[in-house]
Amino acid sequence: MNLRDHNQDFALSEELEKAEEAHFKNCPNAEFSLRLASTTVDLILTYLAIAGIQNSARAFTVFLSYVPSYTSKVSLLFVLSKWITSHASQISFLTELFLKAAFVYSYFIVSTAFSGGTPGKLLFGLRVLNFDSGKKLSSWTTTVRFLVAAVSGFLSCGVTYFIIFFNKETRAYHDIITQSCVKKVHGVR
Amino acid sequence: MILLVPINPEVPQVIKPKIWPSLVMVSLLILGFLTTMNTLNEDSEYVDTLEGKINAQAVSGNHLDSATEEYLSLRPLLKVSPAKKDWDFERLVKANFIHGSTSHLLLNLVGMFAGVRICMTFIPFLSSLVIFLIGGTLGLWVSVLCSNQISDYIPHVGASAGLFALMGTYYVFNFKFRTQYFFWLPIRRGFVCLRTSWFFFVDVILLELVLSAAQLFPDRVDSIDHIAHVVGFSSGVFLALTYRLIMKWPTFLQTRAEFVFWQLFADEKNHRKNSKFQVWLELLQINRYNDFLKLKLCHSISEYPSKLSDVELREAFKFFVPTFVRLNTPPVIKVIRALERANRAIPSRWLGRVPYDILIRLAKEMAKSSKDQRCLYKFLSDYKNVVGPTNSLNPNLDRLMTGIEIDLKKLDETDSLRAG
Repeated sequence: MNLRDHNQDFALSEELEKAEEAHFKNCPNAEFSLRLASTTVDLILTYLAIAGIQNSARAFTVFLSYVPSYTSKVSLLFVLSKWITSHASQISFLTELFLKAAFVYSYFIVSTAFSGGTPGKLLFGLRVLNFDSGKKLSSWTTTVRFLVAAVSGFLSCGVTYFIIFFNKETRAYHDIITQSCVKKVHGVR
Repeated sequence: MILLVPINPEVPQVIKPKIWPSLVMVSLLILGFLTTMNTLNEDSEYVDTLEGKINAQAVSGNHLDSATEEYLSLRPLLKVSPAKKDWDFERLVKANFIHGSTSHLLLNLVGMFAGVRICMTFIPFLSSLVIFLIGGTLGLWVSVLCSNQISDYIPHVGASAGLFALMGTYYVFNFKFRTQYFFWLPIRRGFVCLRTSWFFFVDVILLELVLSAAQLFPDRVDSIDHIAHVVGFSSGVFLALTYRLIMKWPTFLQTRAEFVFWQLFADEKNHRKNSKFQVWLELLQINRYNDFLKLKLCHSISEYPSKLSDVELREAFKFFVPTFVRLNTPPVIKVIRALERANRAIPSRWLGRVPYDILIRLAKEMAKSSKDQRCLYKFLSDYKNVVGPTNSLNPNLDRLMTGIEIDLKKLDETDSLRAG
């Protein structure tokens, strides 16, 4: 016999979610050094991925340049492959652009909206949460947060990031705009 | 790899590899460079006379004409290194210790220092040297035969193929475990630990596979010998797998220290059921970072919870650190469930030190099954008793416990009515 009838109001998993959110809300804000470390790891991983995509695109251009050599000269495939060869660099460029955009989107936005942080933040036990409720951010808020961080960081040459150091709640400019914060959730008793 | 430098596998300080093997190999490379320095200078002067012609033909992608090829076939560097139309076994082996420039040498010195050092955790020095030579020679040989270049007399030199062989060996031995990387910031003492299987694969292997395929075409993506890297890596993987097969290395053991203990003291055929538990504990004393041994420990406790003493349980729970529980929650739940059903107490010291996020993670996992709710209630009650009345649980957990309590009372009433 199940302990719980599903018509009952009391829902175990919902109560636990609320308990987790309440716990996260009470967790301390991540200090500047931890945020800097997690951002450094993110930048390193992003650089490795972007450099990999770039090098792969260069190799891809080489492949596309030799496609006709491997197709029969008397076929539609040969005509198509000749077109591909003549536009090899454009095809390669567009593929590269798409892959880079897809990577940045999944790394910084999907990861934060789904898991609560980028891989660098998760590695250091940090979570990006709503400042008031302690809940995970929505996809839209995460996207806005990322765009604000990227644009403001670029325009100010990273100065807006270092506002964390002077902010009592260790929140950056993009955190304040989107009502978010970064909490240290691992190891808190 | 310079941005995140692999230092060693995640192992305790006492079984971290020593430095001397790395210094020996680094010295060999430096010696090789110094002894061939004159030959390199002569070769450079020899080739410089044709530089303009070679560059023009390289840009157009054509093969050099026969007169130039004949001239190049007499270049000094071919006395000690192989090329496509002029190679032999001795020069293939020697080429592992020759480098074309100081920068080439320096990069490979860093790689050699790290590569030999991290392999020493698993295999003896001589085995590392043999893998380096076989993998390096094979890598250079395939690269010499398969590379598509403007001349058949371009020498292939460098220790990269051998280094990739060592990387392949490391990949096989540490595949399921974590690698410690140095990352330049004074946080966590400047180290982060990442799973070897995915990070290594993405950072090294995937890229090399793509770029080596491009090397088969005349247009060069860069001047790096990717084919040698890939063949070297594959040779290292093959040799490491063969070594493990011959030595009958169990998959749940990470380091050589554990393997030696296993061979000398822990033959599985001679176990009584209880002593398996002792073996896992002893092995964890050697390497407390081995999560697979902890999983074996979880399995032992789940199977025979009544047979273990309180002291043994306390010793076992010491290894269930927060990171392990986060990554392996279901096996820990099985242990808690088994102890609860056998009316055994979870060690209070472990309970008292459980971080709150782990508590909620365990509770969420237990809440998935209605059969575990009694266990969940007992677990939360035990936690509450251990942390004391002054530290009250989060109000939601208090409500949760009250709700479960009401449910359990109803269930007990229903069961007693049925029995009556």
